[in-house]
Amino acid sequence: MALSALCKADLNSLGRTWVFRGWLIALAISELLTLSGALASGRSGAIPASLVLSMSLQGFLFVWSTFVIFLSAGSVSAESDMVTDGILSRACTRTQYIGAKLISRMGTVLAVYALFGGTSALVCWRYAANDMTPATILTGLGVVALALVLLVALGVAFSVASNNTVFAVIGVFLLWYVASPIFAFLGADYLAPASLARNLPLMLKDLNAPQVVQVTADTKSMTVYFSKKMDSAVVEAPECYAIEAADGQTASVAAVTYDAAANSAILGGLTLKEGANLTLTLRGLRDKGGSPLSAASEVSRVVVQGSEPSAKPAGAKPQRKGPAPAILSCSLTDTSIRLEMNTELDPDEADITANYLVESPPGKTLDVRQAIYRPRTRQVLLAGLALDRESPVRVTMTKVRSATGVEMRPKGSTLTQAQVAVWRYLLGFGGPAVLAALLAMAWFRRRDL
Amino acid sequence: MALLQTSNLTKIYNNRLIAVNGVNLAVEPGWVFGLLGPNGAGKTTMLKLVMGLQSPTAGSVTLFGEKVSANASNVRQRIGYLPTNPKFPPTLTPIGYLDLVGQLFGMDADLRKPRLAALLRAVDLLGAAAQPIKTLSTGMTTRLGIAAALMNDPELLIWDEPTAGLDPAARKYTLDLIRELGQEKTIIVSSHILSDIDRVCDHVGIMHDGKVIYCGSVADLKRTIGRNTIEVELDGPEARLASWEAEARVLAPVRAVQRTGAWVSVALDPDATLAGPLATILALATQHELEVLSVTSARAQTEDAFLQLLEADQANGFSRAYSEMAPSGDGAVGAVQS
Repeated sequence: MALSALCKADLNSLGRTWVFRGWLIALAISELLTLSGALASGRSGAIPASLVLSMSLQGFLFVWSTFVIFLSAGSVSAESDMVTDGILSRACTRTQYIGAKLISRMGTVLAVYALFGGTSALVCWRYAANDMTPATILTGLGVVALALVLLVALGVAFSVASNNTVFAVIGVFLLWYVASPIFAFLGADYLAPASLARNLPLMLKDLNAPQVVQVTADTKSMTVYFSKKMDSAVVEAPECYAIEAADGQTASVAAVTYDAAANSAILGGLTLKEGANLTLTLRGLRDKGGSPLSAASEVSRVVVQGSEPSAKPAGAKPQRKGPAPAILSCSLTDTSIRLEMNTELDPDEADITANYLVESPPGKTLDVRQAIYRPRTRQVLLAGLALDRESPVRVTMTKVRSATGVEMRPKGSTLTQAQVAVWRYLLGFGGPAVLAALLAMAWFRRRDL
Repeated sequence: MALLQTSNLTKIYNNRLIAVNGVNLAVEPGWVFGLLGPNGAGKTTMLKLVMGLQSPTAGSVTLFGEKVSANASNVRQRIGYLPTNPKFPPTLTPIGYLDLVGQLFGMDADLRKPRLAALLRAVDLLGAAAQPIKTLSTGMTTRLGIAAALMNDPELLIWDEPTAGLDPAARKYTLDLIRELGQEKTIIVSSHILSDIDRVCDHVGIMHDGKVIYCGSVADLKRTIGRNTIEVELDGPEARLASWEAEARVLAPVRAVQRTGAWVSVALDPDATLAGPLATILALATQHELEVLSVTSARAQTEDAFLQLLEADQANGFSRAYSEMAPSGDGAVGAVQS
C-alpha cells in the first residue's frame, strides 16, 4: 500500500509541474508538424514509412529526452528538504520511496511515449508508403522505450547521488549526449543513443519483404522479376496488377503466369504501344512465407520495348573512359543483397554470379544463386542467399567492368555491412537501466537524511 | 523491558563532527521523557538515529524490541514523529498530506478519512484544510505535523522541539497536548527550553556535547541538586529587609542567606526538609511586615540542576570519559540510566 500511495502522490505532483505540462504541449505541436510534413512526402513515395517513424522516434531520443532528464534528475533531489519530515519518518522504507519514484517517472514517460510514439506508428503504418511490419514497429518502439527507461533510471540515480538537481541534470546530460562518441570509441556502440538513432530506420524496415527487382515490357506482355519466391496463389491473380499509361489509359491483364525458377510473373494478353511509359501497380502480393511485398516496390515504371534492349551494342569496343566501378552502398534482406554502384556496369559481366563473393560472417562464403543488374538504377541484386541477421556481411566484386570498360579497383570492390542486432540494444540499454535503478536504491538506503 | 534502548550509540559525520558520543539510554513504557540540552548538543541527531533516519557510526538502537535500521518501517509504524520546524510536500493540501500519511501507515479509507478530519479539527486547521501547505504559517505547519504524528494512533511519540517557533498561545496548546497525551502514550520530547521539559516530563535525559550526562526522573534531579535552596522575593523598606535577613541567618537549618535587591536565596542544610524552614521564613517576613511577592519555583531549581550538571561535565570531562572507558563499562551505563 505504501508503494502505491507514494506512486500516486508522485504522479500527482508530477502532473502539476510546468516541465511536464510544457513537454506535452510541445510534443503535441511538434509531432503534428513533423508527421504532417513527413507524410506529405511519404505519400508521394519519396520517404518510406520506416524513415518517417524513425524521425519521430529519434525526437524522443534527442529532443524530448531533455524533458525526461529534467523530470527524472529532479525526482529525489528536489524533495530532499522535506523527504525526511514528510515521507520517510512514516511507515515506508527507502526502497519503497525510490521504487515509487522509478515506477511513477518511468510510467509517466512511457505513457507519454506510448501515446505519441504509438500514434506516429499508426499514422505511418496507415498513410505513408509502408515498408514496416507490426513486428518491426513493435521492435523499434520497444527499443526506444528501453532507452527512455534507461534515461529515467540514470536521472533518478544521479538525483540520489548528487542531491542537487542542477548537478544531476548536468551529469545525465553529459552521459546521454556527450558520451556516445566515447562508447563508440570503446567499441560499445550499443550503449549509445546516437547508434540507436542511426539504426532505427533499418530496425523498423521489413527486411523480409519481397521486392520487385526488374520490370520489362514488350508490346504483348510484361514481365515482373521478384527478389524472392512468391506465393503462387496470389501472384497469378490478374486483379493484383494494374497498368496505367501516362495519358491515364489503363490496360487490363488477362492472365498471369508465374515462373518459379526465375521468380518472375509474366502478364499476358496485353496490347501495348511501343515506347509507351507505363506505371505498374502491384497490390496484395506476398512471398511464400506470407511477408507482403515491400511498399517501395508497389509501384514500378516501365517503357515498352519493341524487343529486349541491348545494353551493349554487339561488337562495340570498350572505350575505357570514366570512373572505375565501386560499390556505394548495400542493403540486406534475409535472402538478398542489393548493391548500389557509382557507375553503369557492363551488363554481361554484372549478371555473372561468379563475379561476386559473399561472406557472412567474413571468411565463410555463401552461394549466390542469381545476380540481376538493372542498368537504369545502377543496382545489382544478388538473390537466393541465406543470410544470418546477426552476422556482418562482406560483398566483394571481381572482374566486373564499367559499361565503358574501366576495370574495378580493389578499393571500391568490397563493402562490409552489419545488420542491426536488436538484442544488443536490449542488453545495452536494459542492463544499465537495471543497474542504475539498483544503484539508486542502494545509494539512497545508505544515505543520512 | 525498555521500550527504547540505545547501546553505545555514536554518530560521527564524515570524520569531522562527533554529534552523538557513545550514548546508552533506556526509556520505559509510559514515560514522558524529555531530552534536554543546549543547541548543538546532539538531540536532533539522537532522535533521527532512534527513528532510523540516520545510520549510527557505531552502536545500535532497539525500539519495541527490534533493532532499528534505515528500512525499519515496521518500527516506524508504531511511532508518531514530529520534526523541528517540519517541512511537508509544499503542493499538497493538509487533507492530501494526512491522507498520504494514512495510506503510508496502511490505513483503510474508512478509518483514514474520519481520522484525518477529526485531527484537522483538533489542531484547528479546518479552515486551511484545502490550501497548499506552502501557504501555511510556521505554527500551522507545526500543528499539521502534530496531526500527522497522531494519524496512526502511535504507541510512542517522538517530538523534536515541538514548541520551536511557536507563539505563546500555540506553545501552551502544544505543552498541554503533550501532558494530555502522556497519560496514555510514551512520549520522547526534545527541547532546549528547560521550562517546557519541566512542565510536561516525568523523566529527563540531559545531553551535552553529544553525551547524555544525566538520565533519571525530574523529581530525582531536583532532589539531588536543587532541593535545599529556597528563593523568596520580598517587598518592603530596606531596613526591614536587612533586619529580616539578619534573623533568617540564625534560623536552625539555614546555612547561608544571600540577598540581591528584593531577591533572597536561602540555603538549607543538606538533610533538612523544605516545609518547616519555608514556613518559618515566611512567618518571619510577616513579622517584619514584608510582603512576599514570590517563592522559589521548581523551574528555577531545575535550571540550577541543569547548569550544575553542564558545569560539572565540562570541568570533569576528561576524568569522566576516562572512567567510562574502564573495562567494566558500569560507569557509562550507571551514569545515564536511572
